[in-house]
Amino acid sequence: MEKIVEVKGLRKKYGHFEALKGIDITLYKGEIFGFLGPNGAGKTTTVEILEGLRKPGEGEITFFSEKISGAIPPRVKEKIGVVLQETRFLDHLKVKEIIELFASFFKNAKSPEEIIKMVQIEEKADDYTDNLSGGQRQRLAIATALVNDPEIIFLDEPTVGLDPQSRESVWELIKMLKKEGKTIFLTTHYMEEAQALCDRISIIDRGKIIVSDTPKNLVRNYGGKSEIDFKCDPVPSQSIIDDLKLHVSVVDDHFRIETDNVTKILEVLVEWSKKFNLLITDISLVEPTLEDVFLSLTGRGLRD
Amino acid sequence: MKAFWKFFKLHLLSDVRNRRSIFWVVIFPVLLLVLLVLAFSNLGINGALNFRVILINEAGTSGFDFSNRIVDIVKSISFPSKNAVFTLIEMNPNQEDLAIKKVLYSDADILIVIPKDFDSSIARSVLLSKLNINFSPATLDVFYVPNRASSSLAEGMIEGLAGKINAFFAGTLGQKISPVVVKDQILGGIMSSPSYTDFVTPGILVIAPFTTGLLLVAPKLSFLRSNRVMRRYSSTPMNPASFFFGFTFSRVAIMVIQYIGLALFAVFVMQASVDVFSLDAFFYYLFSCAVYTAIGFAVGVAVSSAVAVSALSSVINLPLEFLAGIYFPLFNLPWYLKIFVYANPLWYATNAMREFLRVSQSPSPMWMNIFIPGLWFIISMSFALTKRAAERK
Repeated sequence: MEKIVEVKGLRKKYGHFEALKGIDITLYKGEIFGFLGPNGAGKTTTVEILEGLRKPGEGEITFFSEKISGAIPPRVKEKIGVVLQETRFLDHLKVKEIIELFASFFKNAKSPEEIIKMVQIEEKADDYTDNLSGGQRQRLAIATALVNDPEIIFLDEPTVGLDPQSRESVWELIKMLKKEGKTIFLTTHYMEEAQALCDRISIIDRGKIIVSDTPKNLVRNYGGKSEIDFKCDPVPSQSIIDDLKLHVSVVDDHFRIETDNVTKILEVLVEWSKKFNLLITDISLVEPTLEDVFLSLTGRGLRD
Repeated sequence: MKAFWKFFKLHLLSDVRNRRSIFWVVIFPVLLLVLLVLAFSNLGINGALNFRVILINEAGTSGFDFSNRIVDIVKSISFPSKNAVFTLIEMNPNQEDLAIKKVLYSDADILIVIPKDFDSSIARSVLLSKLNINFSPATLDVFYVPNRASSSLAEGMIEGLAGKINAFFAGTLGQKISPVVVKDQILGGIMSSPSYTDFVTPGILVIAPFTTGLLLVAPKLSFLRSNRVMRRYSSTPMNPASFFFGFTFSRVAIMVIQYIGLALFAVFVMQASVDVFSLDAFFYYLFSCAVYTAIGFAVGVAVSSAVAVSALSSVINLPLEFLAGIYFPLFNLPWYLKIFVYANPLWYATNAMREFLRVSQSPSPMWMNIFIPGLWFIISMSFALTKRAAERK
């Protein structure tokens, strides 16, 4: 697979505080790469170095097979798109004018009309940015990142503060960009967002990347067991429960079984209910999430 | 260049479409001019006055005592006497050039020179008057700046003093006699006496772009920084100079519109007798715009929240505005306020604009009118650029 960005041993200090303690990241063409971590973990520093907003300390950064020394140069910035968290624009300007402004920064820019169509805000093209909803404003922010037809797009918390409907529409837009072959570097606090969108994820904590893998593998390897909760009618006696030959705990008014193999346990439960003529009700499955992965790796929650 | 024009056009559009900006930048200065003229054009002078008078007595060593009597009279109405109206500075005859400069540049209000032949002239006048023969009276040379209110008022008082001296001689000799006359030596250009409208118009042409520098540079810059718009620009290959010059020139364009609007309003509506077509005035105005934009940049990067920018702008705006002599002539200030006045770029700008618009002679030398605001420009820009560079590390 073609490498778009490769970071090796990246370090950054602010005075005596070491924000990045030697991190390695590789982004491949066409993938959505998720970068997760709690506040102060070094996530923003890493992203801002790659976006060209901060100078790197030690380490090696390679963009499009070109080794970069110092700050990201303009020729590299020509090929990247950036969406910052909760983007604001100049007041009293129209959507089309904002896109034209950003297009003027690049040597080869797409036409504003094409970009407006791509992010589906045609009906708002002549509206002032002050009158846009949160979702529309975020689409405009993404539009400004697409004017140069970038090879890689950095999305920093792109759905923070959006309602579920707007969030869903931004997700659709991100999926569309992936389909078009764009590489996406996504930072997010929303675990379901990372799980839904990302091909691979790296988790950073205290300036170090503690794990990198696909969301599925991370959950499988570090997320712990799934929980199956259920009730029975009539309520079985302890001897009947013991017949399951599984560790069953009672939580409030229902039973809970923790397992690595949900399918097998469900089969066992069906057989068991038939044998004792029990009706299983209110069955639910709680699977581990990336939050659990983080918790198990660091002993802390992502939002702590 | 493409980005520069876009920044220029869109920043300009952003403000032109903003009604609040239009009010503060275009309508408010016009209203201020009208209100000030309506309120203060007939203002009298109240309260205790004190003028700084330099006295040089060249006749002090002659055999007669008239010149020393004049000195005594001036001393009797000078500090620390009760009800003193003068602060007297006595200088030697060889310091006359220095004394003239002090009057010219506002370190003193007036210079009285008692000439060498003063005593003999008075003696001759008294003698000849007794013989009913025509005589040339003794002269008191008075150097003053007619277009400076304090200097002009002091000259009037010296005229009154000479009248009293003549009355004394007339009473003593029992005949109508005027052995002393005041010979005015005018310093600076001779300009017609300005009306309050003329007086305040250059000041408004200073205040308007200064307010624009604080209202349309500092808050906007603060908005762009705190809302990460600057960061977003920095993540593109755009040359930072495009933003800087595009943004700055859009502000200067607004200030030029202010100049044209205010100048035309002052001349054609308020009937001000000022030379608004003076190229010197216009170029000095452009220089001032650069200074005020730099101050706006410094305020905009010094603090990031809108509230802090507003508070800091007020802290800077109010003292500078009121210690610039825009609304009233500044004189009789205590030393600690004088320090602020001499460091105030608006005072120098007001002085320069009054001279270039042919309203009155600048009380500060023209090189200072450029040097001190220029210093403000350098310090403000250095601060703004250093702070921005530190933020990007």
